[in-house]
Amino acid sequence: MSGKLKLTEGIILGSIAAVVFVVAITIVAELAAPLKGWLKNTFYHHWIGKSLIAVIVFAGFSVLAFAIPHKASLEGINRLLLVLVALVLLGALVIFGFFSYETFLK
Amino acid sequence: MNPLFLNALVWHIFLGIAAIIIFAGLPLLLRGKKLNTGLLKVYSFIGFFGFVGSWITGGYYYSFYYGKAIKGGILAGTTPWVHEILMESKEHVFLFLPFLAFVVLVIVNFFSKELVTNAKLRMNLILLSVAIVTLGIVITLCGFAISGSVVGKH
Repeated sequence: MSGKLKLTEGIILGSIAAVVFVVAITIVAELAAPLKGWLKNTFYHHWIGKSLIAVIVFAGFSVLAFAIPHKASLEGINRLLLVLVALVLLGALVIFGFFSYETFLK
Repeated sequence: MNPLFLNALVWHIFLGIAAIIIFAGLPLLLRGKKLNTGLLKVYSFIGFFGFVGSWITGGYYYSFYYGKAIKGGILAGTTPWVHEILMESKEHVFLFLPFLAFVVLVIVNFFSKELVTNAKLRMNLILLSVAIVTLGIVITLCGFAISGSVVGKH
């Protein structure tokens, strides 16, 4: 049970890290042309690069959170789920807001 | 458009919408007093693999066809903001969904007994499913607008 709790906490933390990464790289790559160019040159398309790196960020944070000794609990999973939902909705608003600003207000 | 791209686009839409419908059904399954954990597991598997399939097929179409054949026409048309806002946002917000679906899959399969007794866990899983469905619907509507803005025959 303890292993399942730790693994699940790790996977939720990995998802939180992936969501934050996607929002950050989306905005930074639009503002910094060399980064978008590097993503395109390395992965054929910037979106493929973002997708693959998001998977790596997810896996890395999941493994790291699982490996770091800590006491996992259902209560912790419940708290992390709320953080994940809040960040996902906020992240979507930030992305839509950013592209709206870039299109209409900049 | 060659048959490969056409199939990729069709499967992207089909698998994505199927996954959204599955995640819309999940909260309904979680609301009852007697949980059908077997069905919950099946739903979570179909939902997760639906989004992964939609990711791969949509990614292939978007990366290898849309940019070369479709994007320029939309940007030169009367509604360039459809690409600049809706497509740009859609392609990035979509990346959240497979990870969220995986979290649901893991919780449903690891904690099916706890879901029966822990109302808070059940409620949070409902919240996560509703968030997935909400983003899925927004992304689908963006897809409708993008399809409607395509100029010329493809």
